[in-house]
Amino acid sequence: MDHERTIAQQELINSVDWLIRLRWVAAAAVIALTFILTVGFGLPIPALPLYVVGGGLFVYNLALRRILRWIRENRKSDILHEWFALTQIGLDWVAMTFLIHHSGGVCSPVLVFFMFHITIASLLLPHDRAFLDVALAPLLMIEVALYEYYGLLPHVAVFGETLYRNPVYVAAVLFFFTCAVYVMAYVSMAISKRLRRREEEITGVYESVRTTTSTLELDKVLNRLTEATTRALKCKGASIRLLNPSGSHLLMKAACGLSRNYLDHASIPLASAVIDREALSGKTVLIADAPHDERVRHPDQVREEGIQSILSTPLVGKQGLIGVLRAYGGRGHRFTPDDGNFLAAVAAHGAVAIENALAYGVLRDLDRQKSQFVRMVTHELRSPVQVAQNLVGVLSNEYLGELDPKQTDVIARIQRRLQYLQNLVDDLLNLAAAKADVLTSPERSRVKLVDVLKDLYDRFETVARLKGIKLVLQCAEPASDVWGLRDELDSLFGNLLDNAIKYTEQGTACLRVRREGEAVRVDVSDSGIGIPEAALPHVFDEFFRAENARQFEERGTGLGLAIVKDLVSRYEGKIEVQSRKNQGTTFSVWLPMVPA
Amino acid sequence: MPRILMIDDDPDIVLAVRIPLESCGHTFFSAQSGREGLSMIPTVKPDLIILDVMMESYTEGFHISLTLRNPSPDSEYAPYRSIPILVLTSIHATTPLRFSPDDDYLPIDAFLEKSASPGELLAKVNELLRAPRSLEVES
Repeated sequence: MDHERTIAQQELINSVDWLIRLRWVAAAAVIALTFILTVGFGLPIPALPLYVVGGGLFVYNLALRRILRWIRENRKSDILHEWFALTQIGLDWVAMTFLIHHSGGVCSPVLVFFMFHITIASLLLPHDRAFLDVALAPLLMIEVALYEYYGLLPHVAVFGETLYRNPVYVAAVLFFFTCAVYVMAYVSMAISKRLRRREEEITGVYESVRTTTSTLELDKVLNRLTEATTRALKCKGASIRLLNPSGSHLLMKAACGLSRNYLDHASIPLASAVIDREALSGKTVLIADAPHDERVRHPDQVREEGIQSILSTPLVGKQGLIGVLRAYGGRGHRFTPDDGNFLAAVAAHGAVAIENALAYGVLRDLDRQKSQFVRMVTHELRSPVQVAQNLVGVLSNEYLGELDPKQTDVIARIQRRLQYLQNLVDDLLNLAAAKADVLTSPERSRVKLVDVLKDLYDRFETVARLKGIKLVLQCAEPASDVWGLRDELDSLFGNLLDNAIKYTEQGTACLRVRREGEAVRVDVSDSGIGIPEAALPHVFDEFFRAENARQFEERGTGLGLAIVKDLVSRYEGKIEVQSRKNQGTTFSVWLPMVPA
Repeated sequence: MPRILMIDDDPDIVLAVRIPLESCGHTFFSAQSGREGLSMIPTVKPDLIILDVMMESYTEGFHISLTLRNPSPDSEYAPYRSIPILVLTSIHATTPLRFSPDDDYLPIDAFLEKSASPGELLAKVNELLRAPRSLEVES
């Protein structure tokens, strides 16, 4: 129900409580003033009827509060709220009339108090009902004045006046009172109408900003923009046409509320689009009578579609003109200059959203092409190396005859070089693939980091043991889930663990997981050769290998840590390294943890 | 004597596979394109087919396997549907395009990296030749 309410309806519902709160004050004020005037100033006013009015206000306000609670609890419709407000104001009129009669009738100084309710009614109620309500005030007032004039009702002469018998005075008071009531009501309504219109426009613009900026998909941006425009302007429909790259044609890209048939004819050369050319010159064009406007190219189509009014405004992005946003009205003179301003405001931010979506589309296409390129290069680079390995394998396995020791040595060297080349190609491609797949990478999910590390432990344990290294896994935080891809996390920590074992002669290599605030911290430490201090700032550079690492281990591409660093930054994590030459190295990785 | 048909456009890899297989006593045939390979099947009647995934087009190897394993009884390759297929590939490790033997996805029996040693190749080939074919049981 909530989403269908207009701002005015919502305002009315909110104001019902407010009226009830105000009435407590009014009731207390009537009683207090009566007491002060009669007891304090000794004015000869009959106090009892005034106390009755004050008490009456209390009593029916209490009842109203009960009824309101019942309406709210039973989720009654909005129309009931309206009638409830109307009843309240009606009851107040009656109380007011009593008050006026008992404080001097047509001569009462309380008369001006009527104006409060006039304002409230005309601001809150729908206008037809407000006029009905407002009409009651002069009617009640006229009745009291006439009854008193003809002696049907005893006049309460608070100030000893006799003016209530003076026909000219009575007529003048009633005339001016009635005029004041209507003028007041009219002015309040006019102001509230304009304010409501503005409020609706602002809500409309906000709504369209919210919906269009919540996505980067061009089609969605365009559709939401036309839908939001149609909704906010409460018109027949809306459309977006974008200029083609050469700027020669306007192509229909999205529409709302228009027939398929109409849209089929809607992509047109710019040269023949008079209205849009006018709009593209930078102003909003308002067509009040579309079927008879000479600027309309196909009046018959427009008539057939039921379009009587058109509003057209340019879409101007940061890079310049990109197209035209139109709104269509089902009756003539449907749009006002205010509507034009509104459409221009929607177009202003809409153009930016469209530009962003276009730019995103280009990036995504590039990313896709890059991924495809990487895939192709992968094949082209790996295939020859692998075939060469295979052919050398035929030789080394002596399928083509026995080898002497010298030949065996040369072939083994070739095999080592080929293996290095294959590792290098794999690492390079891993790096490139990771960078290329930022936008198109498959869906990520919750990954149990501990499982990844356990797998790595199992995989590396034998290698480590054969080298005489003790591999240790410490899990202080078993519930360490990370949002990501298992393969990537495997590659991240696998590279670190591979290094730890590779650059350690003997001792231990340790994997330790623990929680630190909102992050999970993984330390990969070893008791290996360490990294010289001068080399520390460069360890994450692509192709960098420290001097002692080269001497210690021939194989190694210098890309492993670059891959690690790249992955960590893509996971919005952090990596640090601590090392002492000949004592060991610890890499610490912090990754954002997903709450359990 | 097991008969093996290799469909691959790279003569070097064909040579690297031919030598160890022939040395084990397998009878080896090779074709340079998917079309040539398919046309040879009825005459060669191979016990195993070795395929390259990327030949003239990126997925020609897959195309061949799909043609061969076409479930339609009218298919001209219906009698050869149960021949095991081994795919040699160099793109398995680094691409997001992971394909594993899967009846729903691709009718392939095994994958082997091109860099596999002759020993690994022989082991895989012999394993496929020995394996009972479920399709044969059905037919």
